Order: sequence, then C-alpha cells, then structure tokens
Amino acid sequence: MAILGNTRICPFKEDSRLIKRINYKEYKFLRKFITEQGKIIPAHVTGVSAKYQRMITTEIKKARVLALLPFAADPRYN
Amino acid sequence: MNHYETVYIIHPAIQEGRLNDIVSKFKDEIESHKGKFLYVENWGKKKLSYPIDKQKYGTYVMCQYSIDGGFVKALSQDLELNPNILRYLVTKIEDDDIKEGANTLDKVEENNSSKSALPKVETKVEEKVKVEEVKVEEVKEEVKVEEVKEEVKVEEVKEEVKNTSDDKKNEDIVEESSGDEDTQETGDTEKEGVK
Repeated sequence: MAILGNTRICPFKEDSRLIKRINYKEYKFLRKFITEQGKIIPAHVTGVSAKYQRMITTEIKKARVLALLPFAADPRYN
Repeated sequence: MNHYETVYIIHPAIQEGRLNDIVSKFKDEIESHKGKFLYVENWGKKKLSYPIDKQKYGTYVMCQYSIDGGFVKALSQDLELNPNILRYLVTKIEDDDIKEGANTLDKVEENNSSKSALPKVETKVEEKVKVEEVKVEEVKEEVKVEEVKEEVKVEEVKEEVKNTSDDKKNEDIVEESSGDEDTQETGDTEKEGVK
C-alpha cells in the first residue's frame, strides 16, 4: 500500500467532465499542466494517469504551434 | 467526407474588412472542392506566446468544415502561401466536436468556464482535508467518553470495596492499573489518528 500522504488521484478519473477539456482550444485549462517556463509537468507530479497524460501532451504541443502556449518562456518577451 | 478544423492567425495589421475577405476566400476555396462549411468563429486579437514574423499580436479565426481528405493538402497550401496568415493548424475532428450556432464573424467573449473549473478542483481538495480533520476530532471525542466511563466504573468498584474485605481491595488495585493501561492504549490510537 502506498503511503497516504503521497498518493494523488488522477483529476480526470475523479471528474470525467474534465476529459472533454483536454483540447488545444482550452489552452487556459492546459496551463495547469505546464510550468512557468512552459515545460510540460511530468505525470508523477500532477498525478494524471498515463492515458490522459498522453492526450495532454499532444494537445499542449498543438497549442504551442498556434502560439497559445509558449515553447519556452522568454523573460525579455512582453 | 471527414470533418476538419482549421485555426489560423491573421496578421494584426489587417482590419476587419480585409479580414472578412480572407475568411470568405477560405470559405469559397472549401466549397470549390465540394466541401461543406460548417462553422466559423473569430477569437479576436490575442497576444502571441512568442513572436511570429516579428509580430506580437494576431487575430485568431477558427473554421470547421467537412471535405474530402485529399483536398486538405491543397487548402493548407493556400494558407501557407498567404503572407497575411502567420500560422495555421489543421486538425481532424469528430461529429461531437462540431460547434452549432450562427456562422458569424463576431468576436466571441472568452469562456469563463475555464476559470470556474480551476477553483472547483481546489475546493474539493480542501473539503477532503476538512473531512479528515473532522474525523480525527470525532475519534478524540470518543476516546474522551471512553476514559470518562472507565473512571466512573473504577469509582463504583471502590465504593463496593469499602464494604468488603481487604483481599478484594487488592483486586481492585489490579483493576485500576489495568484501566490505566487501557487509557494509554487509547492515547496511542489518538496519536495514530493524528498522523
């Protein structure tokens, strides 16, 4: 059994309505899964299951192409 | 015939009149390839996350249409060669993803749903923590009640003992000590609950 304090439940298994929001058009929702630098946060940190992490990564990468999300945050860019 | 969705970023210098020309040109292009134009939405002028062609802003337009897959390449070629379009993305969509409503180019207000969902998750976590705290408190209260009951029992036994012989007094002392042990155990369980 896992130690109680460290277990994280996948937010998409808790609330299935959130699955629909894994879409590049919902880039504000996807912001939850990237760091300030723009890196994708690993699943073991956020607790997202592998199935939805795969979906999240592809959608974040789509949003990056359209400049909705950054590839890397540039501190000089305003 | 599959459904496709194209989002493209139009140069920020282009005003509304010419913007509508670009969108209608794209619409004509689809219809010339026997496609069906389903939906168009103007997301308005947005700040880009990184500069594209030295531009910091761009007007986003989202189109949904159904067309034979072979013509998608020709359509994206047109977008690629158009100097007024900074960037475009074509994705295949399912029937459920097609938006219904008026095909207008009016600027759409940004959805507040994305903002509202974030605090929901946080509040859920907070509620869970609260529930856990409440449980711990309940356990503490139960333990206290048990301790009180034990004390009462011991007192009753003592009163009985006064009327009986000395041998039984010794037994009572044993009982009292055992009662103390019980309280210690309950104390341990309380600590575990806190952990």
